[in-house]
Amino acid sequence: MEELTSMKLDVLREIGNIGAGNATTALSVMLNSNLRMESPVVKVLDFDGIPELVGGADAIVAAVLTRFSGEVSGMMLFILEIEEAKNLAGTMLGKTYPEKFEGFDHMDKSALKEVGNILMSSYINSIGTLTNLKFRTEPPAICVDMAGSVMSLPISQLGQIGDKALVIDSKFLDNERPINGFLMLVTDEMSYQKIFESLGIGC
Amino acid sequence: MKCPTRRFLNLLELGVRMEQMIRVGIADLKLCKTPDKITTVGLGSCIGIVLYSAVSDICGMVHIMLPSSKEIKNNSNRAKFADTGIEDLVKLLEEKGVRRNSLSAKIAGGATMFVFSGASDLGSIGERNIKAVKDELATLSIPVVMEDVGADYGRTIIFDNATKKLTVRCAGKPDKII
Repeated sequence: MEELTSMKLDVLREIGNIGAGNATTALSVMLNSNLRMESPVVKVLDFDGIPELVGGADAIVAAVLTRFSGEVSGMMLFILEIEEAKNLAGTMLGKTYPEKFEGFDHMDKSALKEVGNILMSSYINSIGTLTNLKFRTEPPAICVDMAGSVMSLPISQLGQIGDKALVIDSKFLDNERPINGFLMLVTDEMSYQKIFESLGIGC
Repeated sequence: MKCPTRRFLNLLELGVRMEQMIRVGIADLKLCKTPDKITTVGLGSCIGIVLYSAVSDICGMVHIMLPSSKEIKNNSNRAKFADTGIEDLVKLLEEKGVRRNSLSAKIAGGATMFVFSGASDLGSIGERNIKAVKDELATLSIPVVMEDVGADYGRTIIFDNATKKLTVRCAGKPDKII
């Protein structure tokens, strides 16, 4: 994973671009708002560096995780800092949360899960369209807890193949206000290889 | 009246050292000497294992994320796995003169953070970690004195070797001291 050429990084960035572009459109329609996306950043990080992307290992976040399997397999995470999650769920359900926040109820979680589902399905589907590889996504799960803890599942998945994570970090803007959250794509080396090959990039 | 900064400097001159918090990362292990404390932040399915001795001022912690180094090809980072991580920590403690037969363990973590509909082998990685850690400690004849494992929430742990107490901190819950 360390020896990614700049060509491959460009490809990953472009995949991120298309994926996040589609995802943003889907979410804009759903929320009836003006969402925009910053150009994705592809990062190779140590495991300890991943939670730092959302304010550190002990920052409370809402994370929606979906898995996909088939010709390529892996998982995708949509992570929001807790205040952003409150904003988003509030917008969707037309409610405000009390000053002293006690946690999300079933309905809130369901709403956030649906946002994550739409975002990540459109992201993953655009990879499928681009590469012509066949895979299917599973229904997502949500978890609201410390960033370090929620990341443990994707990190241990990555830990089976190495000590680094490749993160496609796509940031969103809501009416030009940056949303403090990101999408993270986690797949194994073989899947990356297949993606590259399907796009005609040898190794 | 004495200036507080001045007093602090005086303390430093006297060789009085502020106690430190030693932070153990993911797939990492470290030692700690009283009065310092040792911590690891945001355990999910990973497990934090503290090894300490009632008769020593040195303790250690390892933050493992996978059950076994034998199932995986790329296993150069030994602190990543329950088997090699604990083994190495014991070795390090022994090098510092802590006797193996005086060691006790306190463990926390091994949660299942995401609950998917339908059975899954991935979701149970926390459970597999718990089993692997207990097996390894049993093999080394190190008793698990206290544990806070499983369930579906994250944990931050802080061990104070002076009192031998492990503080388990969870989001939205009062601290638990074990």
